[in-house]
Amino acid sequence: MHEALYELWLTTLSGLGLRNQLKLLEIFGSSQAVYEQPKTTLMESFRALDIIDKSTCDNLLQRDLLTAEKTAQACRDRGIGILRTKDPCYPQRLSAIYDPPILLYYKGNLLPADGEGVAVVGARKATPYGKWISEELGKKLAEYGVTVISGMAYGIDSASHRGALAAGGRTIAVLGCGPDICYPDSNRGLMEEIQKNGAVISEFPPGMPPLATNFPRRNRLISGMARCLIIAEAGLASGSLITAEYALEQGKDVFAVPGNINSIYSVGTNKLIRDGATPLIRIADIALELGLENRDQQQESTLIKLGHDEKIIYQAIRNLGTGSTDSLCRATGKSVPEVHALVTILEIKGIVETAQGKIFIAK
Amino acid sequence: MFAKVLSGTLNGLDAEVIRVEVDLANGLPSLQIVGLPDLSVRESKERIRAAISNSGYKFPAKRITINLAPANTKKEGTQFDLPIAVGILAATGAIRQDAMKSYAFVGELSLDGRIRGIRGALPLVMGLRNKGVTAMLLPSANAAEASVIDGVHLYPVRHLTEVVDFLLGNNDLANYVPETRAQFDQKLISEDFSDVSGQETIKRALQIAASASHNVLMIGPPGSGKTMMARRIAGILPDLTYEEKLEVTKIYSVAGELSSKRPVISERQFRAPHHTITASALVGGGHSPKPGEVSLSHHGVLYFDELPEFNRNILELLRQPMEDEKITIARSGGIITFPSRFMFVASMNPCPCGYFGDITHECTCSMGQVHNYMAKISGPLFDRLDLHLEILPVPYQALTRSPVGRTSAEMRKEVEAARQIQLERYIKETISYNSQLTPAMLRKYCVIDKATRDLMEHAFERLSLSARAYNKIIKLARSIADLAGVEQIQLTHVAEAIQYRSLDKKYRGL
Repeated sequence: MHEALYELWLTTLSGLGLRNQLKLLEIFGSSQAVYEQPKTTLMESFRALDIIDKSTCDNLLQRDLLTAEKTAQACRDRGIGILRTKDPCYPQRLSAIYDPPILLYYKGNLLPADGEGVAVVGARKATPYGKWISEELGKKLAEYGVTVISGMAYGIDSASHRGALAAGGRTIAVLGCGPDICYPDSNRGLMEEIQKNGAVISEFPPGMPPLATNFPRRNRLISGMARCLIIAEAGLASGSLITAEYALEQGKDVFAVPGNINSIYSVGTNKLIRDGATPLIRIADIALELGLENRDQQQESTLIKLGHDEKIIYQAIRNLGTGSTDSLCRATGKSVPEVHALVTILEIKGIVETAQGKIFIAK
Repeated sequence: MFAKVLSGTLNGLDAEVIRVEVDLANGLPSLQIVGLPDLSVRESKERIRAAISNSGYKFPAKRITINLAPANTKKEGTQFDLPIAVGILAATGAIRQDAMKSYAFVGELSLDGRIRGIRGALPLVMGLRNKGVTAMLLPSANAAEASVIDGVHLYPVRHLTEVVDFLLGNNDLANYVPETRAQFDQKLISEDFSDVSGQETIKRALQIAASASHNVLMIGPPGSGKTMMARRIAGILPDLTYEEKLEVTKIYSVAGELSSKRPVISERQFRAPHHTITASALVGGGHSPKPGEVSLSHHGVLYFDELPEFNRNILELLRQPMEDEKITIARSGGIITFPSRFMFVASMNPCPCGYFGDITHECTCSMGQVHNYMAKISGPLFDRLDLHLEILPVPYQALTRSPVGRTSAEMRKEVEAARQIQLERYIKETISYNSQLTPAMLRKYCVIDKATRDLMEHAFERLSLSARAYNKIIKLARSIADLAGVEQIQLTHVAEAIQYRSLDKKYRGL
C-alpha cells in the first residue's frame, strides 16, 4: 500500500476544500486518523467545521479509497513523485504559510537546498526588455548557486527558467495543472530541461487541466516556497501582482524591476515600487540583497573595449533608453547602414540587444 | 461558292493562325460551324446573321458550312465574328476574294453591325505578325493597344459596312498611326518615397530588397506605414525595357484588363490582392485559363497585406511561381504557361489585434494567440523571405520634424546601378539577381575574408541565428556591397545584413 494513500484520499475527495482538509488534520492528527474515525465523531466535527453539504459528507463517510489508489497508480505510471509535509525535501518555507498543501506532486528531483530559492515572475505578455531582465536574473542567481523558482508561463517565467538553465543552475517550475501536463504546450522542451535540472511541482493531481482558478492558488506556492520574490515586469492586470500580494502576506521580501513610466508593460511593477517593494536597479544588486558575494567587476570595463564609433552609438542608446535605428540615426547623424553595422557589432559583443525593432542596453 | 479568310486565336499568350473557310451549298438554309468551336464561337452565328442584314447586305438563304482550320485545336473568343461575316459576304460574291487575301480579320460583331473590342488583341496581333501576317483589320477599340507592335499594318474598323467598303475599294481606311508609343514611354507612378517621413531604416532595407529582387516581410502595428511603403517599391525598380513592357501588356491584354484609358502597361505593376483571394485568381485559371495575380504582377511587385490572414493553401501555391518564375495551368481547355517573375512583399501585424510590443497601446491578445499568429508563416514560405523588418510607428514629433527623406528617383538610380552590376556578373549564369544565387554560386561569387567569417561565427553563437539564416545573410551582404558599388563583400556589409533578419533573433520568441 502506498504510504501517502490516506493523504491522497483526503486531498482528492470532491467537495472538500483545502481549508477544511487542514482543519480535519488539525483535529485528528493525520489523514489516516481521519479515515479511521467512527462515523459519529466525524459527523460531530462536520458540524463544528460547518461542513453541511450532504454529498461532501457522504463522500467522506464512504471511505472509498478507489480514487486514491487510481491516483497513486497514475503517479507510478507517469514517474511522478509525491511529497508529504514531513518529507525532508518538502519545501521548508512552504510549511510556514497559512495554507500549505498537504501533498505535492513533482517530476524531476528536489533538493533541500531548493528551499533557499528565489522566485522570478512576471507577465506572460512581456517586452523584449522584460524577457532580457528575467533571463539575466535567472543566470545571475544560477551563478550564485541559487535555485530559480517560477511558473513556466509564457514570457517572463519562461525566460527566467531559461536563464537559470543556460547558466547551468537549478530551477523549479510550479504548475497550475497536474505535473504530467505541459502548459503552455509549446514549453514542452523547456519542461523536460527543468525536470533534468530541478523539478516541476504542483499541488494538483495528475491529469488536472490548467483551469483558470488554479493559477492564483499556484501563485501562493511560488511566493511561499521562495526566500524572496522578484517581479521582472508586470502590467496592471498581470497575475504576478497576485503573487506579490501573497508574498507580502507570507512576510517575504518583494523586489520589482522599474520600467519606463510610459510603458503599459511596467505599470504594475512601478506601482509595486510606490507601494513599498524594493526597486531592483541593477541585475547584480540581487546578489547584494541576498548577502551573496559580489563577483561582478566587469561593469566599468565595458566602455574601454569599444571603438570610437561604437562608443558614440553606445552612448546614444544609453541616452535614449530604448532606441530604434531611426532615432539613432537622428541622434548620431550617421546613416542607416553605418548604424546597423555598429549595432550588430555591439550585439555580438553582448552590449546591446535588439528585438521587435527596438535596441536596448544589455550591460 | 467558297471563300477563305485569315484570322487567329490565342492559346495562353501564344497566337495561332486560323483559316476561316466558308462554303455555301444548296439545301435547307442553315449555318453550321465546325472545327472545335467553343460556346462563344458557336453563338456567333446569331450575331453574324443579324449584323449582316442590319448593315444592309443580304444574308444568303443557303446551307452554310464554316470550318475553322486547323480543325483539331479548340477555338474560343468572339474575334471570329468579323472573319466569318466577311467570309460569308465573300462567298456570296459581295466582296471580291482577292481583295481580302492579304489581310487578317479579328473583331466581335454587335447585332447592328458595329464592331466591338476583343480580349487579348495585343498578343494576338503580335503572334500573327510573327507567323507572317502583315496587315490586319481589327476593332478600333483595340487599335491603341496593338499599335505598340512594329511590322504590321493596322486598320482599325468600327462597323461592318466600313470593312465591306474598304474591301470594295470605295473608301480608304487610314493606316493607323499610333499615338500609343508615346504613352508607352510614359511613367505613371506618382507615389514617391519622399512622402514617407521618419522611416529611413525601412526605406534603406526596401532599397536593398529592390536592388536584387529579394522577398520582404514587414512586421509592425497598424498605422506604421507598411502598405504605404510597399506601394512605393515599384517606383524604385528600374524602368521596364520595351520587351518587358510588351510582355506585361500581353498578360493584361489576355486578362482583359486593358481599356481605352489604359491601352498599354508601361510601368511596373503593384498588385495587392485581398486575403480572401481564391486559388485560381492567384495563379490563374478558368475553363480556358486566364492569368492570375502572380502573372499580373510579372516584372512588378506582388504584395500580401496581413499575411497570416491568407489561407495556408493559398500561400503554398506561391511556391511554384516564385521558384520557376512561371506558372503552368492545366485545364480541359489545354495546358498553358504564363510568366510570373515578381518581387514578393508581405506585411503583417505582430499579433491579431496588432499592438503586441507597442509601448503605448494595450495588446488584447493572449500569448497563445500571438504565438499562433506568428506560427502561421513558418515553414517553406518563411524560407523564401530574405528580409524581415520590424516597423515601429513613427512618433508625432518625428513625423513633423524630420527633414524630407530620400526620393524615389535617388533610390532608383542606385538600384539601377546595382542591378547593372549583377546582370554583368551573372552574364554566364542562368540567374540575373543576387536573390537567385544557389549555394554553389554563393561560394563562387560571395567570398568573404577571415575577419568577416569570424564575425559571422560570433554572430551565430551570440545571437543564436539559425543555420538557414547563413546563406540569406551572405546574399543580402552581396546586395549591400553591390549597392555600394564594391566587389568584395566587407565586414560592415555582413554586419548590416544581420539587422535585416529580425525573426531569427531569440527575444522575438519565448
